[in-house]
Amino acid sequence: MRRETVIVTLVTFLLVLSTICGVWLVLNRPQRQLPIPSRITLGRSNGIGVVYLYGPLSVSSDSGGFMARLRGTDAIVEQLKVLAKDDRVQAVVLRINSGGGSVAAIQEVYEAVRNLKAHGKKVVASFGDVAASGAYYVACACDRIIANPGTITGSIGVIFSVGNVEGLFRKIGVKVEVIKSGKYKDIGSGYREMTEEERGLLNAMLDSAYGQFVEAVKTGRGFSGEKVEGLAQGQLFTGAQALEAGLVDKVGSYEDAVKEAAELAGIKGEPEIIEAPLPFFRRLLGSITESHGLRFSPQELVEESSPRLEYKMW
Amino acid sequence: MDWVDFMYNILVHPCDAMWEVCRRRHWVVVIAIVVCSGISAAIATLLPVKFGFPSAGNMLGVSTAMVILGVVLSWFMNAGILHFFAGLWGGDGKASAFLAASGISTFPLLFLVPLAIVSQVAPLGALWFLLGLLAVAVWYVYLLIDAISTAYHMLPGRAVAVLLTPMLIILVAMLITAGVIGSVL
Repeated sequence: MRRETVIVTLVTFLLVLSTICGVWLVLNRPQRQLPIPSRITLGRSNGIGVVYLYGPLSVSSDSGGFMARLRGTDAIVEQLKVLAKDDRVQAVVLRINSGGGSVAAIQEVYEAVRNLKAHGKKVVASFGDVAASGAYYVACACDRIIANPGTITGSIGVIFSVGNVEGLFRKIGVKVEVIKSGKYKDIGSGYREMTEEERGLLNAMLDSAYGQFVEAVKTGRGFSGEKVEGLAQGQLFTGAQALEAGLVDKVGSYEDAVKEAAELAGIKGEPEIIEAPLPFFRRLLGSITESHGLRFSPQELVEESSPRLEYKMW
Repeated sequence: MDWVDFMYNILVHPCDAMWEVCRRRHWVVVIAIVVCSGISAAIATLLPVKFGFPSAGNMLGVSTAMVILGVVLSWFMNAGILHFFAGLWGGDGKASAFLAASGISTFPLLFLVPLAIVSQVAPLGALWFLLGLLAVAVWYVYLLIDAISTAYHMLPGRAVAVLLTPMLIILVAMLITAGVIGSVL
């Protein structure tokens, strides 16, 4: 056999084999990829982890699919779990810029922060532009809360929104037939007016979620029940007002939050910042695709009208 | 020249391969190399390289299609842009000849997958991947310079100038733009 044929055959075999291996590895890659801290420090324990809570918080995107987990709070919970077990990390700064989100998602992150503290890490919340409602709920689990004087915070409360498209559908000649198994199966349906009985049931749900929020604020901030009730009517506060009301501990920037975290953890000298960023596409897609603007398609109107319980500003 | 000799020449005697492809285009082989390079690049980006950050693996279908399309489109775009600048530098040759030759120059990308796999299993995998990536990049540039030189009957030095000219223009444009924006702000 000619030398040329041998070499070409070998190279072709190598490339084909590696392609097959590559495809196999891609298809069998682990489903969950935990974000790995970006800096490696060997033998030192002066690390401060940073986790970002940006945008609306929900367990997954309404659209589901492979992008859902990228954009949900599952990724944040995973990061907190990784940092909890990382011996280099003495404290964590939660950088928050969010108006809240769905109740369950908020509570999962809240529990993940409590788990972080149970592993001996100090946690400091640093508020950005907005840290209201559910975002404030999460911050209540932290050891300290630091907000900028102009941060918008507060909005302690629950909102349950149901879009009613009955009138619109009547105008465009669309009729929706509902066949249900129980009286309340289509409670919160956007296709018809809500009955008073249904309103009562939903109010009870709301009160339950509201009670959980109030309890979190009481526990986290050490307030009495009356004080919390006064602050938890859904009103907004600036960071400066929140400081006066006792909702935050200090006014300051992100850098101040890092210093506070270092002080709480007893870190001497310059701390090593260990970022656990969200997967790239989470940050890319989260800002582009989370839209609260006008929706035009009937499909989107129906999705928007589906009931949801949220700790959310507006 | 049969396809075995042609492939052998791409590996070992790239100048001969470039001459051959400029004379007789061998479009089937060229397109196969470009598409396979795209697939290889796509697979390599989907494998988590041990730099300590996740791969693009969560967007399997979209990533694969985008990378393959990117490689194919950039093949055409590069060929068009470099054909223009080759003409400015006094080159004399056909665009189709250069398109075929520049397709051959994407051959090194086929080795991205073995590199990515080595990074998974070898100690200091990320370092080997970086070194391998550097080698692939150098090989690619070498083949591209060879393609320009052969297709337009130029000396290698002038071929380098053809390759660098669009990059320098972009750099100058960026500096001018940055300067203008800077003065406004």
